Amino acid sequence: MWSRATGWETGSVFALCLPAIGVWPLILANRQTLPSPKNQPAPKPLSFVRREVLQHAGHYLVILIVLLVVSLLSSLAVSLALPMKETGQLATCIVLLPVIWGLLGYHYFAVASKPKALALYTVLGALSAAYLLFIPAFQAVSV
Amino acid sequence: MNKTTKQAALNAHSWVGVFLSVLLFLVCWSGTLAVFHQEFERWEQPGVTELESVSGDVIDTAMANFLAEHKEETHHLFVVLPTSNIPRLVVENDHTAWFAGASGELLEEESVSFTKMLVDLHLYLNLPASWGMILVSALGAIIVTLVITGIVAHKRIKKDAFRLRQGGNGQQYQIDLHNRFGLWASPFHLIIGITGAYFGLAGLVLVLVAQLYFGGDRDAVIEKIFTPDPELSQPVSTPQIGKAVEQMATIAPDNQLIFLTVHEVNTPEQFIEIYARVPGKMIYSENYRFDSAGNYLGAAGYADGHWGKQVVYAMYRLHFGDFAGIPSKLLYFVLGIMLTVLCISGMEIWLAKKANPPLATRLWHCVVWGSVSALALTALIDMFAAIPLIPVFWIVMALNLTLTVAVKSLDKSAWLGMSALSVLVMLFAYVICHGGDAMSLPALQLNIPMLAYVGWALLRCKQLRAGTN
Repeated sequence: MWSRATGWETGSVFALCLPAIGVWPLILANRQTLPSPKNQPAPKPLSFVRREVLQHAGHYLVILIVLLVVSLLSSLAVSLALPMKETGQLATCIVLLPVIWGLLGYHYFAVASKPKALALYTVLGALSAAYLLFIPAFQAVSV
Repeated sequence: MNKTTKQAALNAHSWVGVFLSVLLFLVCWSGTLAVFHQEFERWEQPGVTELESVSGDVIDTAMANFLAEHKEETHHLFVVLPTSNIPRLVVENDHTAWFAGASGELLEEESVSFTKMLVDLHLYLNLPASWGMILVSALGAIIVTLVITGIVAHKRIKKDAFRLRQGGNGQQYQIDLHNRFGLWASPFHLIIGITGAYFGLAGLVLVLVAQLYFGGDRDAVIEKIFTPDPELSQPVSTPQIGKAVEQMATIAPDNQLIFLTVHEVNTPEQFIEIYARVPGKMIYSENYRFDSAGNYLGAAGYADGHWGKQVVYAMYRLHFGDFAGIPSKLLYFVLGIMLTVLCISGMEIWLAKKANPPLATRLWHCVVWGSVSALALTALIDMFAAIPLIPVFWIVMALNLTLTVAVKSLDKSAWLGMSALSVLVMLFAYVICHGGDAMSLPALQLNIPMLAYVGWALLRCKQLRAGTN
């Protein structure tokens, strides 16, 4: 209906987003009520041990800075390797960048060894940078 | 998927969600309100004459009146047309903007400080523009991480897809609400994350590509995506804006005119560019170019240009929900509220797992509900004093946090009550400030929802005090 009225681009967005609202009558029809809890747990104190604080600061640094650089280099390298016109390559890079950053963020917290993860990002960043420096980019291919 | 994979995803989800919660909340909350930034602009000046359309002659008169009073040097002139989403005629240069009436007479200066502060909070977190925009864009990528890890970490994604368990200590309700919002609205979250990242990260891509392949020439990269300006050399003259606008009825009769820009004012390269919404397209506009004499030069070619050009030019409408009038804005507002609730419930689940440490819990409620108070008080101050609003908002936020640390009784219900009271006081002040105009459509379309918020927040406050979830 929306596609016919306002074009497929708008229609697709509505089709993707409307289930988030349309599903609620079903969820509300299925709701259950739980009994009251028998005991109330005592609050646990938050940890501010120096080592942990530094560890969290390190995580911020990796997530917000290191992965920005790595995802920027790798998404550009991947995009420029695609056989399409520069306009398409740049648009692909812009869409790909947050996806690669998001996936690397997941990877960083999912692996047990953070130094190994950092080494992997260094290699990925270095390979992407080398590729970007030596490829003959922006010599248009029409697709 | 095995248990270890799910646990790893949950670890990633928890760290990212908890340690970036405040920033994510502020960006999501301000973004949800910013969906209605055009409505907020109208709300700030409810008494301005609204028009359905204007002729080319009226635009010429308005611009002539404006230029007679504002002779300062400028590189651009702008005319916002009533056929945009704001049904008002605005003439402006790089320094100031004025509303004009049906005959082209100047009415009053545009003053939208609160809307600007709200949009700046969303786009930059009120930080210096470049750094703020990169940080907010990083949060777009973080949202992508949260969506992926949230889906992977979900233990019974199919079985629980329609489940909502209320009662108990309220923790299961928070978890179910968080998971239902997160799962069903995940396409929207990905759209918001990816398009949100574009605003700051496109600049970094631009700089990198310019340095690597164009000797630092950023304009050369921009021209790969956006259509370059026409190369003109003509006698310097007054731009024939009205003549250009009148021609649009034959050039693109179905397109809705948004605004126009006169580029390179008072130079031989001067040209007029009219931005018009293309029906059925997500791109911001198709742009029609005219020389100073109002002769049509051609379209910039976004509507039928390369798909890459269209993708990039569609980012704004896709991010702000400005593509199908009020229905798409309402959809984005509701989904934006869901995303904001996702941030809040995520943090509350984490706090509940720590059995609600008193100070951390109070501080979180203060950030969430105190930010509503801070925004309301900032809007109130803006009505009576012309002072920079960014410091006002952050000073109120800092005072709220200090108060929370000092006063142990300031729990969630207290902050909810205070947010309701702040919005109510702001609405009273609005009526005092704008008198009869407070009952006009531009005012009521926001005042009624705000009044509904006051009612909801007071009711919720009462429920919390009575101990019901």
